[in-house]
Amino acid sequence: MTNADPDTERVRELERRLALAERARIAAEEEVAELRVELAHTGERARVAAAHTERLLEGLEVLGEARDALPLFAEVLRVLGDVLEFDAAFVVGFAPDVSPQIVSATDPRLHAVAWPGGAFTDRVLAGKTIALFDLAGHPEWQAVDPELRGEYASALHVPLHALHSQAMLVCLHRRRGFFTADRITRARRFAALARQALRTAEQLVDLEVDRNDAVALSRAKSRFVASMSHELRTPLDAIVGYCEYLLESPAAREGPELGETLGRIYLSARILCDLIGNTLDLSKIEAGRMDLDLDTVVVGDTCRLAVITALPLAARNHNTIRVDLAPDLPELRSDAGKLRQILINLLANACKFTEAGAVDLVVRADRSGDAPALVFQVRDTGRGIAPEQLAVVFRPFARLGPVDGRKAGNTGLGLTIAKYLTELMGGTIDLASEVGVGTTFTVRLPLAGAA
Amino acid sequence: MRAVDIATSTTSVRDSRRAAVEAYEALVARLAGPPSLLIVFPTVGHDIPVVAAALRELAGDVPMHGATTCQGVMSEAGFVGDAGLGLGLLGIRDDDGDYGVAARTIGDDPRGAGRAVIAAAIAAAGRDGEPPALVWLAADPGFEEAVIAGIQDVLGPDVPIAGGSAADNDVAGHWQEIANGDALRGAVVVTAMYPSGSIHVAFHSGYSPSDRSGVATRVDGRTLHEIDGRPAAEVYDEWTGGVIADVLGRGGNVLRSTTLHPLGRVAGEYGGLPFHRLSHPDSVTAEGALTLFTEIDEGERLIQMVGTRESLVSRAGRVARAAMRAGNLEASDLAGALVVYCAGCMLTIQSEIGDVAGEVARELGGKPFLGTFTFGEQGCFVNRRSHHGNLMISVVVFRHDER
Repeated sequence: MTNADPDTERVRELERRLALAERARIAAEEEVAELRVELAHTGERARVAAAHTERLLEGLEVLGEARDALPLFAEVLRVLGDVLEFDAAFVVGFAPDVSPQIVSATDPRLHAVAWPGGAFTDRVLAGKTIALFDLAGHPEWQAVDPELRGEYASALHVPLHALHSQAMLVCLHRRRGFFTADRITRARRFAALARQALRTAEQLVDLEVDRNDAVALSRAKSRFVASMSHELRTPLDAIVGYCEYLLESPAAREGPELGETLGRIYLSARILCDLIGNTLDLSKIEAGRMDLDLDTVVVGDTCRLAVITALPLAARNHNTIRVDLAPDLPELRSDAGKLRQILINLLANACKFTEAGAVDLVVRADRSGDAPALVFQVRDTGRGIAPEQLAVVFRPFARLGPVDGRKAGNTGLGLTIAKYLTELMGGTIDLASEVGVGTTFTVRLPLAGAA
Repeated sequence: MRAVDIATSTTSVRDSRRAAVEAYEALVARLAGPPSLLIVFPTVGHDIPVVAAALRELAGDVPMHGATTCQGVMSEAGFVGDAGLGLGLLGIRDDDGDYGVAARTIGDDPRGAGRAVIAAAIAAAGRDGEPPALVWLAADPGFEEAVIAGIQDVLGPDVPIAGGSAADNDVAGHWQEIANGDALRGAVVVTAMYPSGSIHVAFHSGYSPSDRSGVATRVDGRTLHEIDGRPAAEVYDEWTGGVIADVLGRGGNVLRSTTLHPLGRVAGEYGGLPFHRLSHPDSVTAEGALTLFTEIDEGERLIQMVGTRESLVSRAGRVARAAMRAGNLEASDLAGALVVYCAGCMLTIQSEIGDVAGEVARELGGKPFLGTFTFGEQGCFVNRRSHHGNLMISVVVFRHDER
């Protein structure tokens, strides 16, 4: 056996080292390539994140200042346009009993879209963010303008509901299947911010409305307290005055005018009782402590009792009360006492604002709609209510026209109580009026019973 | 409970029914309940219809997606394949997610099969019209590009597609697919995934480009006849320093000798750096052509890529890390992962395959994963485009919930 030639050994050694160096070079090149990709990837991510953050901050500034939905929706489109890379987008607004409306869009042509709604839209409005990879094959999109479907291939639908608004953001792209899972996630995150901004804007508006209402209510209550002290003092003064007169004047106690004096004391006491009763009722209603006593109501008897109670008021203004009950009225299951109070309040109101006229109480059954009802109408031939006053008729402490101290019992609570009680019984109350002609109040109580 | 939970189980039990039963029972115990999706990777040494039927019997209507794997499977517990026999299961439990599995025979219209199978999988998930977060694919080797094109006819190019082609132990054509309890041949199986957590993907090779390249001047499907107007095998042999010299002129199988020297094509560019999809030469014809596991087009530039055993061992872990970085995930965010590793690479480093599993497990922080060894890999590159390639590694990681 001979030793290998030194040159051959040297060649083998160099080949071995070359192979090792080659592997090291490849590994190093691979490492360099990987690091370059990672560097580019991280740099790209940082650039995108910075751009998104910038847009988001800009957007939040605008969203935070928005006080109503329209500029807010426009800003949502602007912010998401950079983040989601859509080709076009619009916001559809939804309101009860109105067709869906395009309330904001990146392209004026999109305002003409007639959004059909349906089960798919309902799913989105229920809170799901849904992408469609192909608009042409989707049933709900079939009803949308074919030109739009021809121009755009895929869509993303994002719910944008807030406290009072229901809306849906629709992003469009010309490429089929553009809205992938990561884009859906991004849209969902940004939409959550938009929803919060929308909610905040609505809350601010609500707070302003509530504050204005509270101020108005406070003023009305102050007026009411002043008025009540006057209202209570008038009959009380009358009672005290007549009683002093009778106590100090033996002739008056024995004279023929005694009956008339006692009658005046009695009338003032009745007025005082009604005032205090109405005030206590309203307090109970506002505290939620008014309960219903349900039973079968004999409608004719209830109406007659109400009319008897209202007759003295009618007589004072020289009015006549007429009752018109339809034959064969169906059985009503409700609270007879509350119904009587509603009718008394409406009849009293009619008598107060009518002079030398007629007040009609008409009762009919209405079985024409989905919800059969017993309908009570109180019509007068009084001075009527101006259109601008119609909205406040049922508000507590509202009075129509100037306070008339001579009209005892005019607390401004009767109609409020009538409305509260009607609604407590599951019914509705409406009014129609024409100045100089008269006013009609209509109470509808469901025949199925109280709610 | 977290939105998405994942568990795996593997076994080298030889009896097919017993292997399926034991693996499924272990999986359900780890998941603390039945899965919402069951992924199945058996080797061809198993009776595949028996495995599929046993799992159907146990799992009922749970969507089931599977394909045969080469020699074994890998998981967080290591490589499992006893003399080329093994079975691995991965279960995803996700009450708020939707998963639909469908299969179609590829026949002579692979693109049509791709269109039909993705539509059926989406319908099976109950998400008509909605793009899945991921299309998970398994098919017979041979027509993957056309199948992917068919899927993209329906979904467009943006939805990530990942998976691996069915494999056997020795390229004898015994591979099979599994869909919802049925064992299939010549089929494509697709799962449309709509998980309640997010999904992130990475697709890489363990190879670097050399400075040797040429243009494919005559091609017929997956047969490369000429590079730069000369017989492809001759050019390739020169580029690689003679790795196929022993079969030149007579033809023969070159799968193992070419694993470290595939042909690459630029699939895209990211940050100024090209990334490649690879084509693995598996045989040389007597006429001097190379047959490949992918199609290439005439006029495409082919680059000779170079790899090392070391890079094949370490690369899978790095791809898993890349998938996690794509989602900016920590191991604590992770529910689990699916790993597709080229069977050719596995055969080259077979004795070190346990180290590959260990690298992946380390990068995933010990979270459950199941790896299959395939005759073709599909995945989504960093530029968001999905492709079929050879000698590739494709990783899908699942986050517990949505970020």
